[in-house]
Amino acid sequence: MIEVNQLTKSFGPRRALVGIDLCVAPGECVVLCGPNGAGKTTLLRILATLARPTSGTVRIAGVDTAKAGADARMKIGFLSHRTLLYDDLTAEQNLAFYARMYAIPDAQTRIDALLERVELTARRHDLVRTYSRGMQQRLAVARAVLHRPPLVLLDEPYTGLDPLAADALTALLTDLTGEGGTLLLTSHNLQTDVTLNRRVVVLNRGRIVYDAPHADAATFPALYRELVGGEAVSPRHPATNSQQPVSSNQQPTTNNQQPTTNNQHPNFFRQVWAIVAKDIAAELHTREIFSAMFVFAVLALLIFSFALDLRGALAQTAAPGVLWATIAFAGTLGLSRSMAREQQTGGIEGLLLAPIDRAAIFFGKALGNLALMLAVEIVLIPLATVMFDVAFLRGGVLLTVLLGTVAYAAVGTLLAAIAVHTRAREVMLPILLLPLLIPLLITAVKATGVLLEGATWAEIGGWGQILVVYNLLIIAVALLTFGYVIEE
Amino acid sequence: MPIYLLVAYIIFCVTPLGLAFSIAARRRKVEREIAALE
Amino acid sequence: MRRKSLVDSILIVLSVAVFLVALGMVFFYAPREATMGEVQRIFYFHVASAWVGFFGFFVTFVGGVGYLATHNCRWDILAFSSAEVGLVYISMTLVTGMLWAKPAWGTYWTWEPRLTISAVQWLLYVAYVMLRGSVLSPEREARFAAVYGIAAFVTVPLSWFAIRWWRTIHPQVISSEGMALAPRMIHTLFVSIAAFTLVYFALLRQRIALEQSRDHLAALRLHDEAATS
Repeated sequence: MIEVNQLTKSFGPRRALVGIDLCVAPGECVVLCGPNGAGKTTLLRILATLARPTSGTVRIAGVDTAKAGADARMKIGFLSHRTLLYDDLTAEQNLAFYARMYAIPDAQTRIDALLERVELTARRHDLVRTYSRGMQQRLAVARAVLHRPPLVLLDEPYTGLDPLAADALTALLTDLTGEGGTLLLTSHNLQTDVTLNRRVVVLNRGRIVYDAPHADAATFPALYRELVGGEAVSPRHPATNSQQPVSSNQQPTTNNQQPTTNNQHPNFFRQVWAIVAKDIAAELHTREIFSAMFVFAVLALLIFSFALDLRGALAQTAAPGVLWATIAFAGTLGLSRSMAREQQTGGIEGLLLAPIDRAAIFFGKALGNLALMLAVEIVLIPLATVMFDVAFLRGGVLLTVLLGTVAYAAVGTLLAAIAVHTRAREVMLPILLLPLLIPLLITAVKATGVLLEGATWAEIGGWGQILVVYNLLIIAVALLTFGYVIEE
Repeated sequence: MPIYLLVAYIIFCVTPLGLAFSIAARRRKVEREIAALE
Repeated sequence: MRRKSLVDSILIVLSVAVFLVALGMVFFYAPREATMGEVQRIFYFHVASAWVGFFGFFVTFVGGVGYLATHNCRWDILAFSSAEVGLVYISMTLVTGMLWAKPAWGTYWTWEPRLTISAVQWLLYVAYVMLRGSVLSPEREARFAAVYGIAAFVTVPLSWFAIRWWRTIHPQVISSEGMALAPRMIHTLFVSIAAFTLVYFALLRQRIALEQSRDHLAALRLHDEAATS
C-alpha cells in the first residue's frame, strides 16, 4: 500500500527527514512514534501528498504521488488535529461538499450512514461552529473516511479527545482494519498503542531507528528511551483511553466492504461549482463579509463626498473615480476575510487533500470572490447613481464594472492566498494588491468616465483593450502560479 | 537652477556608493560570525 | 573563489571607470540644452537609473521564474538581490525626477508619465520587499516572492500604457517627450546607461555574495546545533 524509497525532506539547510525507507502492506496497522521534531508529522504530510519530498519516491497503492497526485489522493484519508471542517456550514453541508470533491457515487446514503456511525445525526443541521471539540473531531473522522479510502493516515488522532470521541475513533479504526484498510498513525502515547500489538516504527531526528512487527508493552518504553536518547517518556494510563470496548451498538454493517475505491474521477467543473456553492452557502449563513463590505463601501462613498466636497459638476466628474476607489478598498476587506475563513480550521488543506486540480481550487475561490463583489456592487452602483446623480446604470458602464471586477477577483484571490501566510495579513493584502491594480483602476476609471459622457463601448478605444488584456494576463499569471502558492 | 543639478548628481554618486558600503559592511559582519564559528 | 573575485574586481574597476567617464561627458561633452539650460543635464543619469531600475525588475522576474521552475535557491537569491539594488535605483529615479520637475515645470511632483510609472514601480518593489520580510516560513517566502515578482513585472508595461493614455487626454499635460536629442546627447545618454548597468551588475554580484555568505552562516549554525545537541 505504501512504498517509500530513500525519502528526504529538507527545509532549506535543515534536514527534517533523511533516507527514509518504508513499506507498509495493505491491511497493516503502523504506529509511528518519536520525540518532538523527529519528523513524524512531516513524513505523514508527505504521504498524504500535502508536502513534496526533496528527493526520493513515494508510492501509494502503486501510484507515484509525484506523478499522479490526484489518483493517490482518492485512496488516502487524512485526519489531523485540525478538523478541516467549515465552521459556517452544517455537518451535512460539510460532508456533502467533500462528497462532491471526491465524486462519491452514493453520497447521501454514505453521509447518512457515517453521521449515524459517529452519532451526530441529531445535530446534522447545526453549524459546525456550535459543536464541541469532541463532536468536531467525530465529524472530522467521518470526513476523513467519507470516500472509503484504503489508506487512512492519522496525525496524533487521540490528542484532546473526550472519551466518547476516542471510543468512536477506536471503533472506526478497528472496523477499518477489519475491512482490510491500512492505517498509519503518529503517536506520543506509547502505552496504549503499543498494547494493541501494532507494528511500531520509531523516528528520531529524521531517521527510522526502529521498525518491528509489534512491541512488547513491558519492555518497549525502556527500549524507546534508549532509541531516542534519554527523552522522558510518560505513558498514559490506559483507563482514560481507547481500550474500552465499544459501548454503542453500532454494528459495522452500514456500508459495503469496498477495499478499493472505485469512484469515477471527479469532474473539474463540478468541483469548481462545489467550491463556489460552499462559499455562498457559508456566506448566506453568516452574511458577515457581504455586510462588512457593503457598509464599508457606503462609508467610503460618504467620506469621499465630504473630503472632496463633491457637489454638482465636480461630483459628476469625480464619480467614476470615487466608485472605483470604493470598490478597490472594500474589495480588500472581503478578499482578506474570505481567505482567512478558509484557513481557519485548515480548510485549504481539506481541498489540497482532495483529488482536485489546483486550477479548480483557484477558479472556485475566485468565482466565489467575484460573486461576493458583484453582490455588493449590485447594491452599491444604484446607490452611487443616486448620490452623484450620474447614469452608472448603462450597458457600457456595467460591462466595464464586470470586467474590472473579474480582474480584481482573479488577482485578489491569488494575493489573498499569499497574504494569509504572512505576519500582518490584513495589512499585507492591500499593500500587495493595490499597486498591481493600478493599471486596472486607471483604465476602469477612464473607461467609465468616457462612457458616462455618452460614448458607446466601441468608442472607448484603447481603454477597452487594456481592460481585456489585463484580464487575460492576470488570469494567466494567477492560473500558472496559484498551485505554487497554496502547496506547502 | 544649478543647485538642483548639483544635488541630483550628488545623489547619483553617493547612493550607489552608499549601497556598496552597506553591502560590504553587512558582509563583513557575516564573515566575522562565520570565522567565529569555524 | 579566486577566479570569482577577479571577475568582481574587474567589474568594480570597470564600472567606476565608465561611471567617471559618463560623469565627465554629462558635464563637459554634452551640449547645453537650449530651452531648459544646465538643469537639463539631470536627464542623462535620471533616464539611465530609470532604465536600470526597470531592468532590475526584469531580473527579479527571471529569478522568480527560475526558482519556481527549479526550486534552486540561487534563482531566489538572484531575485532578491536584484530587487534590493533595483529599489535603490528606482528611488534615485524618483528623487532626481522631482529635482528635475521643480525647475522644469515649477512643481516637485506632477502626474507626468515617467514620474508616475517610477512611483508605481517603487511601490511594487517596496511591496515585494515587505512581503519578503513578513512571510512566516523561509521556503514559502521564496515561492511567494517569486509569484509576486512575476505578477508585478507583468503589470508594469500595462501600467505604462494606461498612464500614458491617461495623461494624453488632458491637454495641459507636461510632456518630457519631444526634446530634440543632438548626437552628442545621444552618446552621453548611452554611456550613462552603460555606466549604470555596469554599476548595477557590480552591486548585484556583491549583494548575491552577501546572501550566499548568510546561507553559509545559517548552514554552519545548524551544523553546530546538531553537533552539540
